[in-house]
Amino acid sequence: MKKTIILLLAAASFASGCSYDELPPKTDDATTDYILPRGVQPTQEETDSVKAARAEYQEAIKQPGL
Amino acid sequence: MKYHKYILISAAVLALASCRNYLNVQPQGKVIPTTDEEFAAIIDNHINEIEGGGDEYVIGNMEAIAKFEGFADNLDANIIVGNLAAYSGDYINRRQSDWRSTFTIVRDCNIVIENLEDRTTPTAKGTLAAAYAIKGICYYNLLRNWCEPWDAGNEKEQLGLPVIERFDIEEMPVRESLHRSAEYTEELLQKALDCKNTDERYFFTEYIIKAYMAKLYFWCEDWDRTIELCNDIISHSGISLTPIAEYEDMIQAPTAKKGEVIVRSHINNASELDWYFSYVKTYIASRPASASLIRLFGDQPQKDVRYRISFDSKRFNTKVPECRVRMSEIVLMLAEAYCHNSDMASSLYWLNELRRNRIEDAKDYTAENLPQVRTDSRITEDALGQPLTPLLQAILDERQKELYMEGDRWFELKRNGRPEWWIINNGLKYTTRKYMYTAPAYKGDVDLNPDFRQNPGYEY
Repeated sequence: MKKTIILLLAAASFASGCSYDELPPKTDDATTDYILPRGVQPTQEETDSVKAARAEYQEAIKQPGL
Repeated sequence: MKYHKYILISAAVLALASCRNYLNVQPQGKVIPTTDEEFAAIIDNHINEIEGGGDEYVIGNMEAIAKFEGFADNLDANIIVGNLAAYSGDYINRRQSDWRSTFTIVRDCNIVIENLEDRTTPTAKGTLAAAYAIKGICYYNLLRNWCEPWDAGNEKEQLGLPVIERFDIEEMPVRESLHRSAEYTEELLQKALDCKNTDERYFFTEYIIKAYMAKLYFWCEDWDRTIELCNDIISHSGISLTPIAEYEDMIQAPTAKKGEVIVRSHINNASELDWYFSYVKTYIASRPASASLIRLFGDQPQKDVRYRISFDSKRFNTKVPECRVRMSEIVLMLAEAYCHNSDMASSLYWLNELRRNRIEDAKDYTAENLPQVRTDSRITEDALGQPLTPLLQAILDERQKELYMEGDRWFELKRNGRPEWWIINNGLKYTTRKYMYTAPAYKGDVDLNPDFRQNPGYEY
């Protein structure tokens, strides 16, 4: 009798318990960020063209009226 | 006695093993909306954000302008990077968060639309109109930012947006085609229009919605409907192009909606964010205008009112950076739509109309005197992938000058061929790649649903 009651109690506690909370599917990687593109070394020609743009700018802002 | 003990134990076991839901604390101080006024409060909150200049995702604000002008080439990061994004690649992760923020606004609109659709009070109708308009404009912004540019004939295969009709926390929608997304955006704006809101408390009145509809048709290369709607706005809105004499007052108004402005944000003259905007203005003015933009103003730039109000002696910005839709944009869309429809006379008419209202003693363009197509322009092909014609180049040039510092140029580059170019920052070269014109969707959405497709090019 005692065993039956214990078994019944165990069964009742399982049956009356909550179902588990489902979680979103786990992903391979939990990161929230994307990889930012890396800078590369500019060629000499590219560096020269930036220098030229800066020189043009410095020259232009010296002129009155701009 | 023996059985009483077992009954007590069993009751205790059942009580302990039962659900823990009673531990879930209900949010305090929050109201689940039921009345018209409570739903109206959700939309009022977004309208207040727009009016105060805090809204970055519907009409946009200074923060949005700083972001998009930082990505684009009106300013030259190769001369001085300043306090703006060096190029669009720096903002990849911030842009995926923008997706989430925009869909938060869509969620609010859905809650209102679901509950107010059948109600007939003036508050319910005005709020519903605003909810449809805000959602429609959000979808238009999502299309421009998170979808690739319209590719006529291929739009049913191009990746679009999740179409979210109602608030459902468990729904995991996938992305529809670009065609369906544009169609859905149009439906939303049409529903907003059908509400016939005339009450300015709900902000979105007829010609504001029509202006966004025209922008949607233009983005989707529907030239016929662009022409029809732009002509309607020009003829019936009661707004006309602001002349040279009043242009500076209109553009430099810190908060007032003046002249040809159809809609603008930040119309609250005592916004709690004004202290912040003063910082954003200094960030924007920390990078000089590019030489190529300055050259568009010609040999006598001072004759162009836009030049006079836009730059200081060191080419730093002096134009008030506010997000707005103006009649000039409607006229420029009309001119371009006529051009794509091979109606050169109408296209030239509207282009010259704009120039006469911007440049002192402007000489009208004719088919014979249009400047030749430049070989060093960043944009070399039009929205249809065709080489630029002199007329189209002239329209795009006017657009670049007119909508400078209004966050337009980035989307013009995207619409017209997505050119790749580079800047050098701290000794390294960073290239704006074609894929970067299309922002990444929020990674959380991609992780949650295996069928949700991310835009190409983004890796983690």
